[in-house]
Amino acid sequence: MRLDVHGHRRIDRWITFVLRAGMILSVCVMVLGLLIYAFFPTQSSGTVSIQQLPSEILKGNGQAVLLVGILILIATPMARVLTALAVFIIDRDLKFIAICTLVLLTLLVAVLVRPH
Amino acid sequence: MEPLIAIGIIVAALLAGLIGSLFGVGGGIIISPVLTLVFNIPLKEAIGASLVGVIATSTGAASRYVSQGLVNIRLGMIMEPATVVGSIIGAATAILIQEFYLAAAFGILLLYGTYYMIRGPEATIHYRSPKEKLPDFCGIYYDGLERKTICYESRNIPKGIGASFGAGITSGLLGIGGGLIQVPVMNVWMGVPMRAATATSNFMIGVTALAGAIVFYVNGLIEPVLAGTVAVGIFLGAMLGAMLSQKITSANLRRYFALLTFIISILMFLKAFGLELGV
Repeated sequence: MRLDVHGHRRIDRWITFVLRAGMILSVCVMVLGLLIYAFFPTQSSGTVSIQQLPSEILKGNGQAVLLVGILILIATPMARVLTALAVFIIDRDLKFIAICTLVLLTLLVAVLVRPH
Repeated sequence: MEPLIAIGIIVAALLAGLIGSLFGVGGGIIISPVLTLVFNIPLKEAIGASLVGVIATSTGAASRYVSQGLVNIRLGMIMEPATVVGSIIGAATAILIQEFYLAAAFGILLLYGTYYMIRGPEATIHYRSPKEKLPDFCGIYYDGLERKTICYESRNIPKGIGASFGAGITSGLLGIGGGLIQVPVMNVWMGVPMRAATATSNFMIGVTALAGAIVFYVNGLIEPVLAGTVAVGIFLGAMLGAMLSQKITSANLRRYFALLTFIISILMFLKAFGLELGV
């Protein structure tokens, strides 16, 4: 482990950047979505499906914009894992490449879970 | 959603984000109960929105903690597969069982949290002197409050991974981050100083909550307006919390934490029995 007291290690820098970017982007889109929804509330309730998103956004559906922001937010931890993986690949740290891959695989499993 | 309700939710979320980032938790322990107790939102929808909120807390606070060098990224990542699997199981369970059980489980978890934090003095951490080559799970950072460089070595990693699995289950089940378990486990079992444990927990719970959020989302339990309102409020609170955290001592963090969990525990028991009575 490289020694650097003030947190300027590459992994810290890259992950900070990804988290901040994801945060700023998702907050901006969510606030936009909330404002649109506040001024032009839609009649439909419940979730908008992903296939409907592009058309709903063009229709000016605030909920759809909001959902995009939420999806960006949800994608940020995923992006963080991918960033860590990239750093570990550059550092050729096999142990942590394996661990990151394991995290990504288990996250993919989550998509398939539909309890009845 | 009524504007007044939206404002109320943003304020509640701001507090949740603030408290969450100060204590290394996701704020979910506040948001889920408040949404259901104060705003009468069905508990499962509240949990879905809360998971999104936990991701918001984690992202907001962790971006600061990582830049400060406090997060033990390797330590966090080795525990994450366990939290993800746990979170998936917890989320699936939450979707299947009745609300009464969820509310009661919340109450129990929070009592446990209170007890754990009150129980003993903060764990004595055996510091190491910084050397050129340190083992994988060592952490090193500059503590602004104590004005010195802290170097520590983590131990009991397998035990930590096991506990993380449990933390993951609570996360998916109740819409919390799991920091309630992660922080004491890291501090007491694994030898991580409180400040680093809080930071690392904040970092980890984003992925934990992500797993649960995915399950809730594909099962249609994330309502965009609710989740979005919670997320925006929590972001503001989390940023504030990470800024303040260097100014609060570790011993006080434990005390405030215990008080907080106790209060909410009582509230959730009341809710559970309210649900049981059909109130």
